[in-house]
Amino acid sequence: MPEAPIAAIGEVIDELRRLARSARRRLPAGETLATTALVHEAYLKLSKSSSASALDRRHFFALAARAMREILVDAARRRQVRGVEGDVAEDFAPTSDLEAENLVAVDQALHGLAEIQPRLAEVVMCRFFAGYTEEETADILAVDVRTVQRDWVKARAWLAQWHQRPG
Amino acid sequence: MAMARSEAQLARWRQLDQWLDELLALPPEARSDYLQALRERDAEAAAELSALLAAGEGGESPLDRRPAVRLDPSFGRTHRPGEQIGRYRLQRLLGSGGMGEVWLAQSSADAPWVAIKLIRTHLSSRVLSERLARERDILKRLRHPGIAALLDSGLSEEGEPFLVLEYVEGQALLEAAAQRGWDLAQKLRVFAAIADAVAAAQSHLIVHRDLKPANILIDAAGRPKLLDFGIAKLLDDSGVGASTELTLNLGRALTPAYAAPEQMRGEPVSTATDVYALGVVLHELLLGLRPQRSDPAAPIQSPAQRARRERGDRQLAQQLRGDLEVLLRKALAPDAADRYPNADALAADIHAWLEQRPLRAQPDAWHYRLRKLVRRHRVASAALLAAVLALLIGGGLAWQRSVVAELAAARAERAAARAEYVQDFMESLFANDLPGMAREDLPTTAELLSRGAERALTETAAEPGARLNLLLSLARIQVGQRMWQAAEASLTAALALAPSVADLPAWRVAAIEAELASTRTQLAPGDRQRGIDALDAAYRRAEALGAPADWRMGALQQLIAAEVDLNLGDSARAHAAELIRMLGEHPDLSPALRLSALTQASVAHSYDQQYRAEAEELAIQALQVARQAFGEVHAEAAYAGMRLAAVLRIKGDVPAARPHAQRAAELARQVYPDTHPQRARILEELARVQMRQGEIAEGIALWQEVLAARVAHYGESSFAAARTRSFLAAALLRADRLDEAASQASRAMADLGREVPPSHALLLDATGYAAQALLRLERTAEARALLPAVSAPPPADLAPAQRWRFFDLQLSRVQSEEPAAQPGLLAELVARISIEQAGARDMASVMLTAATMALRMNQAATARLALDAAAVRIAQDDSTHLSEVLALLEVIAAGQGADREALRVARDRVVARRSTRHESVRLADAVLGADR
Repeated sequence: MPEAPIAAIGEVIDELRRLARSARRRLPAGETLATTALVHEAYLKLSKSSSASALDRRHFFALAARAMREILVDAARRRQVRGVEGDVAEDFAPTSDLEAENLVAVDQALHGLAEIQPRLAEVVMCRFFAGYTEEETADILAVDVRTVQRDWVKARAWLAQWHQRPG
Repeated sequence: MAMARSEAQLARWRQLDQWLDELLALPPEARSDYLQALRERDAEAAAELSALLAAGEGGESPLDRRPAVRLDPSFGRTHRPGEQIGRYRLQRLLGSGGMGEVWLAQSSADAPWVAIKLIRTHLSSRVLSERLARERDILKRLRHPGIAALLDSGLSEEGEPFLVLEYVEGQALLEAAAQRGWDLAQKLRVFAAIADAVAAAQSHLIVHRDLKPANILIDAAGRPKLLDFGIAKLLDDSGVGASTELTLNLGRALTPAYAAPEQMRGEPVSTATDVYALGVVLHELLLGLRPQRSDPAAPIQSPAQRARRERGDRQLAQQLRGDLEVLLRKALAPDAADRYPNADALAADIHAWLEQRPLRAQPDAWHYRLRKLVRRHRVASAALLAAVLALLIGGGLAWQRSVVAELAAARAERAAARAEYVQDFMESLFANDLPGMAREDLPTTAELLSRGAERALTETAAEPGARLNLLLSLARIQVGQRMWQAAEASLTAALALAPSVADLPAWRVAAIEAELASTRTQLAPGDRQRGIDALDAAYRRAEALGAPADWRMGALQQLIAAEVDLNLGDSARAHAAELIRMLGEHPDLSPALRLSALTQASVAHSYDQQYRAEAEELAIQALQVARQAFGEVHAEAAYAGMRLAAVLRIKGDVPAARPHAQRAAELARQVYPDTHPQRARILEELARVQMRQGEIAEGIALWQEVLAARVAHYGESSFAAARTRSFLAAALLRADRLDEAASQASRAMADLGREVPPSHALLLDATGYAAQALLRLERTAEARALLPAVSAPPPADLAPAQRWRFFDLQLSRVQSEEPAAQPGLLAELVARISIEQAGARDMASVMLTAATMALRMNQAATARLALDAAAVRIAQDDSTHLSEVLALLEVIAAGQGADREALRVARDRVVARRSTRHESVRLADAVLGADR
């Protein structure tokens, strides 16, 4: 996946945040924030943005996954800093300390994964942060489903490795 | 978790990763062998690998605890066939654009197919649907055969906004043109229809903003249909849509080829923006290429040249050269102000090209117009044309010859030679309806006409029939230019020539006599009555001799005009009745003829209180005919609307007049170029209405605009401009802008003085305004110099019905005399004029003015006389509601015994009718004194 310009990600993040905010208000409490509309709207809006030239689907959704990572991790970190209360109305906020910790851990691991094999990080962002299925991830990253499956296993492996053995 | 990695470690990990990959690719049973093999090479690695494998496939992992978020990347098909959106069932996907999907749907099995456009937007659907609802009503009114109609809009159950549009089956424009093998003329015909559709929408003040060939479908019958009209704006306001894309997207890869420069810059759009898009579409349609320019501010590269060079199409290049190139350049001018102002103007020029008439876009060159005309008509002989040219031009032999040569190649037709050609030619050069052509542009019209007249009178080369028509056309033009004597000479000559013309119907001779009589009524204004009688007689003769209906109706209209001018209400109405009867007898008359007949019939009834209802009814009918026959947005509709407003205003129902006057003015602004006389005429009506409603400042502004237009068209010192100045002066007087009023009125007097006899109503009015202004400025001596002496009798040539104007001036004269002398002079004047017979209504007004003056001077006897005289006339015809004023003055005249309460009541009644500025009110206020 080509390296997306920072500006583009920033826009995706802003857009998703915004959409989530309005979408969340419409959702009953506790419902999963997953709407087709959210992504479509973000896609439309961003496809108009000047820094995203000839934005195609795959690229966009890959970006979206990346953006979701930023958003979720950011929310998790904030929760950790502020404590349990945090901002209840926070979009994409983790629902527990454990979840927050989890998110931060995975995020940190991503750096390592990316250094070993960039696609590993991509797969994690797609599967973990954006919640795409294996098939969807494969489509977006333009690889085989089995590759995605293998990458997932590897990612799990490496995370476990690093958790057990610091450094 | 700190991640300090050394390069070595990283390399190690990468290696492991690769092995892990290989390992995972193996079926489970083969893995142990792999590991075994690795153990032998690198035991540590093998151990690590095993651990990794175990961790990867089993155990717990943070990765297993996903956050409760999921983005759904199944972007694309949000709906399925058979799904219900509102009351429509989706059939199949027609396409998906930037704004959403478009589905074919129907509301029930037999219902017509519609196109449902689902709008995807990040905006809250509630906000969008509110906006949709607002705009929808405007867009729904946009019904035109060339535009895919917006039928409905709504919100789906999921809260998705959608639009319901007329379903159009057709081919996109460029594909259709190519596949159906259209030639240039056909392409232009289709394009004209497209431009007409855009113009219709623009008349509803809807700009398309996203015109492009993909948005123009051609149906099986070859008719264009525009899609997405107004949708762009609607969505634009909501932040979704073409314009937003463009304004945000200056560096976008997709070239917004159809966007006008101002759109690219994010500036406001206008009807000229659509013109630009239309220009690009036309260019592409004709050449198959998009226009190009060397730099953004330059005009486009010559289409003709590009046709030759880039398309290798010599024939096309030839066809494009000249008019079409000028047209394209004008439509595609970088500056919106240089383009056609709206689609209607562009359509007009396309139609003009198709009908081989001159284009507005072309500068007004004599030879250009002539060439055009030559192509339109076939002429009998080159000699005839040479004669015509000699009449009008005189010099310029070289191009005369070239035109003659063109004619020589043309086929001959006698009828054309006689009637249409000459008439058309000359009238087209001089007629008042030439768009925006200022008088100054015509090289000394009067000179040409007199030279032409001379030659026409002596020219013997042309055959008598053609010469006759030439003289008649000349006469008509001369009448239009108010050159009465010249017209008389032409008509007399025509009459003399008549016997030598073969096959001339007898009624035509009588018709010429009627024209002559009509002209003579202008020459001898004092003898107008006799002139009208002569005209009437000639008309009867023509009728008896079998004059056709259309001529008779025209003549009746002329008669009515003359009679109205002289306040011969009964005769005018009788002729109007005849006109209406003829309308009933000849249902096949052209709408234009019907319209002018109805209009004039309305005018005939306008000035008599009893018949105002008829006047109104006729004006309403005329407006209907205009709208039906010519369309809502057309010059005729504007003019007819104006006439209705005038009727209502004169009747006194100013609030009813206002909307008509307003609408007519709006139409006129759209339909006519700025300096067109008809536009000015229509705006004038609105100005009058505004003045009546007390909107003095607006009225003045409008009068000034009208004046500017007339000055531009007719000339600074022209009759038309002078007349306008006079009305402007009256308005300025009301606004207390005395200096301006004085200056305009004096100018009007000077200019009118050159054109009309001293006793002309307009001149008298202008004099009155000037004098009033000067009096109020206390430039008494100057005022006096303008006004007739109190002892002077009214001029002999002043029509009795107009005498009141003269007396009005004399009243002003009294005001300009020494205060000591005033009472005596006033008494003298009142005594004399109180016995005046004619013009009851207007005389009443004059008498009341006199009475007011007398009361101010405490001249009870004079006041009494004036009031009695007024009372008698008001009893005869109080069409101006002067009775309240009379009542007020009576109370004041009652002197010391006047009941203050009665005075106040009477005063208030007058204020309700008029305004607090009426003289009588001022007087009442003075009497009531400090109480008020």
